[in-house]
Amino acid sequence: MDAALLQVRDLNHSFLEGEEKVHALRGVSFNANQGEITSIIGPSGCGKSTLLYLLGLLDQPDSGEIIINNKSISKLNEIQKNRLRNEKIGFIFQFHFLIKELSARENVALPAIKKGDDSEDALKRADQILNQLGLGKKLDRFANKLSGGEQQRVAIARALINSPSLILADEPTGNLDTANSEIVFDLLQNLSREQNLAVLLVTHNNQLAKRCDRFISMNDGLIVD
Amino acid sequence: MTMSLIGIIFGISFFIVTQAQTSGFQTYFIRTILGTNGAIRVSDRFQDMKETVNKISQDGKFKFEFKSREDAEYIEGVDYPKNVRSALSTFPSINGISEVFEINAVLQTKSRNYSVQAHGIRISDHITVSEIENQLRHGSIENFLNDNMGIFIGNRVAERLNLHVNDRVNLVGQKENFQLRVSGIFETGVSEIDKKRIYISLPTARSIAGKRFGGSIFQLSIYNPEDARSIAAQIQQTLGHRTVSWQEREKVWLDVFKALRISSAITVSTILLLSGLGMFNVFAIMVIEKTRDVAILRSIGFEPKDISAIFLWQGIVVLIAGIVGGVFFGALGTYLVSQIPLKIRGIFTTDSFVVNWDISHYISAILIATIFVTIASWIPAHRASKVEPAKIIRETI
Repeated sequence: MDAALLQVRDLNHSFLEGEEKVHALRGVSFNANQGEITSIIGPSGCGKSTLLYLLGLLDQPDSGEIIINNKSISKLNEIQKNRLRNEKIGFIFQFHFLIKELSARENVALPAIKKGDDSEDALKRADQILNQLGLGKKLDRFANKLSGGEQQRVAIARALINSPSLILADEPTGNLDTANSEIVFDLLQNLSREQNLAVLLVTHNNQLAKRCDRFISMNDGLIVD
Repeated sequence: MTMSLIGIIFGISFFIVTQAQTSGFQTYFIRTILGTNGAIRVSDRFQDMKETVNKISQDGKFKFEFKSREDAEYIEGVDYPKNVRSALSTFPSINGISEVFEINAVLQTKSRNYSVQAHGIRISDHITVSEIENQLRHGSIENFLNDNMGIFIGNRVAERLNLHVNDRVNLVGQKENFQLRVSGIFETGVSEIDKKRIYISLPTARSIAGKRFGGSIFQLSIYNPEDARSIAAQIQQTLGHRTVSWQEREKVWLDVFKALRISSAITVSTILLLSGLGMFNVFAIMVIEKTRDVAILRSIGFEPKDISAIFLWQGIVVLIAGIVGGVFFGALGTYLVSQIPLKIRGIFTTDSFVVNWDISHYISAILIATIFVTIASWIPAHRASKVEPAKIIRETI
């Protein structure tokens, strides 16, 4: 239950913004356990999202180590990283990032189809998850025909379809009203407990952060609390 | 995308139609010249004093090579036709041999005199090396066979002298003149032949010229006309007589047809290139528009090659649709063009567009379109696969 699924060691990252080098992360270290929601809070530009992209293997750190399931990702090649991202990590973004030309169930089934599952099976599983998330009547709605809260639930369903062990949520409630924010947060909390997931939740919402199992406060690329 | 698809359909179909049409005329021209003057002509005895013909050996196979005919010396005509004929009959690739004795003469009617080129032939031999049977518009081979004084005249000669089958006409030569009867009127389609040539029996021609022996030429047909060049070289080397293949004889016209085909292929390929460029633009814009979607797909585990495959697949769909449409409209267009009335006289005779149904035109068109579409979709696809998801997501937020 308390095993550190994710271990981050002395992570440094910088990138160029115009001609200026921005040090987004400076020696960040922490652990995230299965069955827990860890919130990451801090002002805009403090490096929260950058940290999430590095943990999601969408970017390369300058130095430091990320260990997932006791395996250092620095030793993985690109194909292995893609597979890990597909099978073990679920991403949820603030703007849900659904593909608008696809229906809700097709959006959810995409990672499973990529994994190599049979399309029919993947769609059936997508239907089941969407049913559990209260979207059973909107399976065939195109993504852009759903409300903001519904779209975010579809994004959560997509993150869950391959039964990942780590969910990275980048301000998933940032674009929702209070009621929908509650629904989404409760959903993540229940999932982390029921499915023993490690959830990393980047948020500006202090109320939600306080309700998480652990929280990390960041400022100027450093963990301050 | 629709415009690119239309461009590809148009390009492929236009390529097919133009190639069918230009190669159609070329094939028809070749058929005409083979049916008129044969695949190979053996003429003057050749004195190879300066080694203008060489036999070369490559990998155990012998080939014959002409260096130049410019400095060679000739003795006019075939001196010993029987011997030459006997030697020619040993060549397995030759399927017809006709001895021809050519003289200049004048056809005399009541109203006018007309200069002609008389070809003395044995009709039973000549039908094996020419299309004279099919070229007869009036009269028959039998008329000629059964009448020693029979004469075949070109249709333009007949028009000018107002001659009809069974009419009597005087042929005046250097030594003799004979009264002949028109056995048939032919039309080769080659105006120079139709307005000058007449056929008479070989003995009659020799009598008119006062030359009992020698001076004739041989017209040959071969099983595979494409081999004429090498067979001609072989005959020349073996028999020591000037031997010219149809390719060498008609080089100027064949070069004209070749230039036309290349020119039309370049023109039409440009249409395909422009369609490819249009498609490239569409894909390039699509990649820009879909950058966010590409980032999403990358974030859920799609690999760069998967992203490339999505765009390449769209290119393949457009290509397949373009090929199906292009081939259909190409075939339809070829058929419609073949129905267009077009009267051509001069180097051959036709009353409509001549087309050549050749699978190689379709394969070439498909190949060119495939190359352009592949390049047009691969470059944007490759660019899409290089999208950095974190950067795009950060910028989107």
